[in-house]
Amino acid sequence: MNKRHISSAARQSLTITISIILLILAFVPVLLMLVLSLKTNAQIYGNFWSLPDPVAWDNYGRSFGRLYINMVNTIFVVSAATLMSVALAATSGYVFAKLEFPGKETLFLMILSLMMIPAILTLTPRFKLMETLNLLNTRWVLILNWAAAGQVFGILLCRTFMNEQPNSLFESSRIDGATELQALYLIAVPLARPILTTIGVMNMINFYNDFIWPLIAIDSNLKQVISVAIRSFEASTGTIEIGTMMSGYAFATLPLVLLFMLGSRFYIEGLTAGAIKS
Amino acid sequence: MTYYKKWIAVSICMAILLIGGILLVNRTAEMGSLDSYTNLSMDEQIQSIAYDETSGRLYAGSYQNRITALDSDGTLLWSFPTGNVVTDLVLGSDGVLYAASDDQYVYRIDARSGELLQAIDIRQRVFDIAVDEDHGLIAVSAGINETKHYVMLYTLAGEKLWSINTHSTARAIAFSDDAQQLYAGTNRADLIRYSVDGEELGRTRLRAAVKGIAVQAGGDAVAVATEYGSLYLLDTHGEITFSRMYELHDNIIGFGADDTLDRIALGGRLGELYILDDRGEVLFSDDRKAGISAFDFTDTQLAVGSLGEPVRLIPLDTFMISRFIGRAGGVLKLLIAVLACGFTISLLRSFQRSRDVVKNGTVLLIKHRTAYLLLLPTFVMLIIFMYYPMIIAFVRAFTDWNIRSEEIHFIGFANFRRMVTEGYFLLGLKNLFTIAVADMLKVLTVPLIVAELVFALRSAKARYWFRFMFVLPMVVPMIVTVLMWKNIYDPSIGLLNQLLETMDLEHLQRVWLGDPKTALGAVIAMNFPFIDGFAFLVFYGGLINIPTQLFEAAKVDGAGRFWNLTRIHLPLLTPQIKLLIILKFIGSIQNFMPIYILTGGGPGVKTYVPGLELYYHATTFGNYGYACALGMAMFVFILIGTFFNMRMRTQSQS
Repeated sequence: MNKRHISSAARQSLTITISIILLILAFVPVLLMLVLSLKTNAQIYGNFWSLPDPVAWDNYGRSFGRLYINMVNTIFVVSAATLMSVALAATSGYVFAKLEFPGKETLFLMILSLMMIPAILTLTPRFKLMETLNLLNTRWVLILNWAAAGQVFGILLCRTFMNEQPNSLFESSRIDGATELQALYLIAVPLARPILTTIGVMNMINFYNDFIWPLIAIDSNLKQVISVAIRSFEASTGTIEIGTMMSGYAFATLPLVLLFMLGSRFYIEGLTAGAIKS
Repeated sequence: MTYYKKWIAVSICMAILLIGGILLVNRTAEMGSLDSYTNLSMDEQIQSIAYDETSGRLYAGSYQNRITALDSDGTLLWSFPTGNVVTDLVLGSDGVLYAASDDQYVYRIDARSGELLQAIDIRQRVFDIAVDEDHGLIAVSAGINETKHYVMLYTLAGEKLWSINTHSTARAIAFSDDAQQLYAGTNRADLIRYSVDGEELGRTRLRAAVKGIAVQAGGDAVAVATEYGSLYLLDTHGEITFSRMYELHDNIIGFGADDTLDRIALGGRLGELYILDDRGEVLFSDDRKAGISAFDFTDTQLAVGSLGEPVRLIPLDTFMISRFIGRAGGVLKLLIAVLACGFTISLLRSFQRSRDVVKNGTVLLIKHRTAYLLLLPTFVMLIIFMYYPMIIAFVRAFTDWNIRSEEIHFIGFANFRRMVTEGYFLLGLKNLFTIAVADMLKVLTVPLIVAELVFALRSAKARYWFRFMFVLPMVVPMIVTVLMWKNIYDPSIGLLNQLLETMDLEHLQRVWLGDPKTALGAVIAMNFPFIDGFAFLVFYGGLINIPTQLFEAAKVDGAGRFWNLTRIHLPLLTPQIKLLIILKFIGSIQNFMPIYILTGGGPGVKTYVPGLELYYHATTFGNYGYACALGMAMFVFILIGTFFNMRMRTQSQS
């Protein structure tokens, strides 16, 4: 019995050791980014492995000065698109869950079928459409595109969630003389807050990470979002200030880290939302 | 799941209708047959032809060493014997017929009587002639063999002005509209421009031997037909403004165009006939038993000569009609698409609800207006930014939509043929296959191992913290991760090479992303040790939900860890595994961003993938139609993958 206990404890410590090794390996790029972001070019080329001494805090000042406009753009555009997609998802999800009307099945099927359409298929026509609508190089080209695409999965999640809410709640509100709009915003939305948060976080991460669409749709660096703008360190001619570049990367990572700190639960639920109904 | 089935039925229905419609339109645009036109029977294999519309006379030069003149009712007027094959006939304005022959002579013949006016001795086989009566010049292309071939200029009286060796047989020769330039097209695929003084002005390299040249009157366009069915349009400086290949099973043997180049005719050795408009669109096509060897355009008619069939006269109006059908095709396609949508929707609705819905439609619409009004914003957005681009992508995949031309032409499956013939797509597919297989292995191994490790921890607190830490790297934006790895692979200050240096393994240092041998490997190895936080959470969630009684029972049976893994965990994790397989499959096909950043597809095409091809065609090259076709191909791959994945799931459940 004792022997077995010891082997089990040894196994536990082995498990922990392997986990820690894997963790360290997984964090290598992040640690490298943080260390390099505090070094000057001379320090990096001089001794790659040395810790920052003296610490080059200026790097952050420089990259912030260069990227803050893009960060403001990103926060504005991503928030607007997220709000829009959540509002659309809540409204349509409610209609499909709680209202009866002719053509409901067909319309829902039409939305469901969009899940099968990969973004890459419609990339070219969307780009040309935005060109025709004169929206290229504006914030709308990002907001409208993201909101339209982001609501689809949201509607499905919302509908499933609201279907599970008791119908009696809504019926009694109707008897009390509430309009459908009131029922939606006074009863359905507060009840669905968890799923709406999940949809919001999920979309926020997706929009924040989108690279190809802003790359195609926005030319002006002043209007560009951060995911594309941080490449400007690379592209610029002359010597690359590696430390500044790395601090720019760290700066771009910050908003998602904050989001994760504020609610890792919603963050994880947002990420795994796809797996919920598998 | 029933939704999926229904949706698949709907999409198949729509696809069949759409493809059927497209084929239908294609056929109507290409309909037509020579059989329905006037024929002038001649028991000869015609090599060249000239038609005089005002008198209705037809002149034909044949392989039977004869020039024959026929009246409009087909009666023989006269016949002129030559020493060899008649290679070219040109009808002058003053009733003079110029004829070139392999018997080394250029003849001037009175077209009314068939009387010989003059025979100019060229002393070489004459392949082609061009006549400019205004300036009194005859250009002759003649030669002895492949390397001794001459372009020569004669006066109408037969006086030789100059001669230049082209060192390659030139089967076609033509004057520019102002007669200041002379074009000769050679078997070495050069279009050579000479000044009228015999000075070479320049060459344009085409892709195959030149078979025919036609020049626009009053303009500066030159049309050139080459072997195997390519048509080029060039300007007077030899710049190619248009090129396109037509489907021929063998060589072009007949080529002709009207003065304005509004109508261009191509004839194939195996009987293919194409009539094209000024933009190279097919107006009319036919497939004959015998080769189509000669054309002559007049103001209202086209004479077609053949190697084994009567000469046909086709009114040019015919092509206007088929052109109209071709144009209407675009509208028709849209109509068919709309009809297909409407049809499937109405089909579905007829299953679900009765006709009352339609009858009382408006009443119901008003009664349920809240629901429809609430759905309106969603559907307005979806129609504009999802459905419309989707339909455009499907329809325009069959067109030559591009940044250069204003108009969009329907080109059938040419974009898809281009994918399999051009090579980039197939190369990309090969790389993509490697990457997708590696992605699959990565997502199914390491995250599962990590989930098992965390699951095996006994302390709840340790579990929580490890889970948290393993998920944390996911908050780094994808683009930052990729850029960091680009930095790690950097040849001078990259972590990888620095590490090798400190370990005294300098000989292993590489330009990881620039070396053709390591580039693809480096792209795949990005993100080592491949702890995909999402896959980890999915596996971990699956493990937590396995009922503990199962393990208790296994313990009683004396089961070890490995037994637990293979007999309990893996079978119970199948839904998770299948989910990850399909998500990864779709992701691998769609997500070309890391490769775009790391290598841009290089070095060479070592890491090229179809997604990059699509991106470049949609942006840099501006070939939108082709980009749509690429998107459609990738969509089909995803659809097939999803279909198999769903089948796998249902089988395992049953």
